[in-house]
Amino acid sequence: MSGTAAVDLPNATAITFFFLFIAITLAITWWAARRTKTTEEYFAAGRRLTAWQNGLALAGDFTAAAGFLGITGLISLVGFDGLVYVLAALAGWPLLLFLFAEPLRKLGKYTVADALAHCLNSTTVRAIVGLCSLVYILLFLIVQLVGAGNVIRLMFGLSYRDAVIVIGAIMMCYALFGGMLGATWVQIIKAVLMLIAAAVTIILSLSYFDFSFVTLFEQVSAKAGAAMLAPGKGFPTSWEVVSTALAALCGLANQPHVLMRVFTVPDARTARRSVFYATTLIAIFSVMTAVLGFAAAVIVGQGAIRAADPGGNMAFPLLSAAVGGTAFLGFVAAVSFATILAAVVGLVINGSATLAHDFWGGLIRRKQVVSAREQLILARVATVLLCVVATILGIAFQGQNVAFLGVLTLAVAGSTNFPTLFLAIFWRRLTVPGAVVGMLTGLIASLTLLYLSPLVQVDLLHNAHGMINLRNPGLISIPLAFFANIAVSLVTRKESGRPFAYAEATQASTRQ
Amino acid sequence: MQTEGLQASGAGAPMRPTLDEARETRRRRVCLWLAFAVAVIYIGFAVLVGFAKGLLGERIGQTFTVGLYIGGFVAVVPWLLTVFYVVWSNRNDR
Repeated sequence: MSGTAAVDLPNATAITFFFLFIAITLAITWWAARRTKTTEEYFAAGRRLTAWQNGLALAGDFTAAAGFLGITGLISLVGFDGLVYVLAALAGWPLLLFLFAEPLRKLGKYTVADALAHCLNSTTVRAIVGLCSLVYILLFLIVQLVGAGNVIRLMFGLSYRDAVIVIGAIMMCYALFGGMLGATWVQIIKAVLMLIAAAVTIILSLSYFDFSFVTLFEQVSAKAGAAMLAPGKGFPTSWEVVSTALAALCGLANQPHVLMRVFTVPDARTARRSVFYATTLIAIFSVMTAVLGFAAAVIVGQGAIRAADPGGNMAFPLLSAAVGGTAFLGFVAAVSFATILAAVVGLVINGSATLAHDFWGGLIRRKQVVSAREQLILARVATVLLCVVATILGIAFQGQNVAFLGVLTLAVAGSTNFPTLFLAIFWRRLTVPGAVVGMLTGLIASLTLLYLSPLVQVDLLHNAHGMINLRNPGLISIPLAFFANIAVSLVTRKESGRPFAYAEATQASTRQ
Repeated sequence: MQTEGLQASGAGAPMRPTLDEARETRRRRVCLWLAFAVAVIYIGFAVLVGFAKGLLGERIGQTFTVGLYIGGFVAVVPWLLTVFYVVWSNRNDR
């Protein structure tokens, strides 16, 4: 069975399915919008969800576009090395759970910024965290837009640039009118549909191999080379592998919007159970992306995958078209698109919350009380700003694999929020200057290294080669940030006996 | 919830920790060990992928490579640890 012909022309069936699905999600968002009156509801879906629903939303949010588009594409092109990305999700999520979920839940803080500001009792910290989180959120938004841009281009034949602009506009409307509850429900539905789309594609693909993994891998070796099953094709240097892994792990263990999600359930037991469901689902999703990647290498062929997008992001949709026909392609494209959209809305809402709560409330309006109404207005302004900037930058990163881009942004998160949050919760001696300098060090280091890397220097600026030969800064910036946090804290040791956060967390104090 | 034990002690010797505090300390220790285990397993895998390419590329049998088996291990263990944690932790909640 070879790939379908003319898969990249706009196709009526596919487009019909596509719009049908979008209409459904819009209806849900509109329903949710009518119920979003308070800030808390806007930000945390009113804690009304069950464990199952929450777990599904978590899993969906977590895997999103980087998973099915990016990782599947990466594995279809480079094989084994892509597993470093797959396993990052399988390890990073438990790490998040073990380290941060309980303390933050007990502190009752909705965002990393709140948690840190509470532990360190400083509005400066809050503002710095806000800055770092905003950078991270913006970068991740770009990743999602690259993915969505490719999907729209595949489906509608628009130019990449136009596709990204269209998506930017859509996501802005979703975020403005839906709030978190809408995003949550969209997430759940999308997660279920994504599971269905992937499952159907996998079953159809595996039937091509008589449901035998041995046959699958044999054919992968035959068609794409035995090197696909061994390390070596995906990373230019050995150190980059470790850097990528470290960045992915520390970054994933710290995603602000996922952390926010942990709080949208009524109590601890339910929260933990939803975590279990999410972990299992993420594991299943992740394994699926890998299998789909290998299958795509055989069924679609690396040539066709690269032709649709050099970064490989279209492997999954092309595979679905090859095994399921154009109607199925429409379904899969719509689901992928909704996946990205919901993740993007979650990001934008988190970003606007950060701007409203942390910048405005923490830095500009320091001691004054900010009215809820003002916060909501500000959140919406921030939403517009974020969408515009992200769209412009999303256009610039055409042709990159979204999983690769995703882990770059994780490197930034892992270098900024992670070290400080970790130390704030588990180390008694973290001081405010330590945290501030530490976070800024991580931010500046990771961004500078990114700028000097081949990604920006060669791919974006068209120089001959990067100034450093490391595409992921994690290996350097994360330890550096830890060091800065610790060193400056030790030097500015003023307060002794500050009860550190973990002990405080057991008191469920209501200082806010 | 009585947690004055460690908190109330200023410069003096700490009083005996309450049951809640003991439980939280144990929970924290378990969490840290679990986190450490997961981190070591995954980063260890990455180090192998970066620096032991030959080893991971070795074939076991006709098709599968050493790397695929190790990858499978790295995939499953964190999930198992999560299951353990959820069960243990819910059972230990008051």
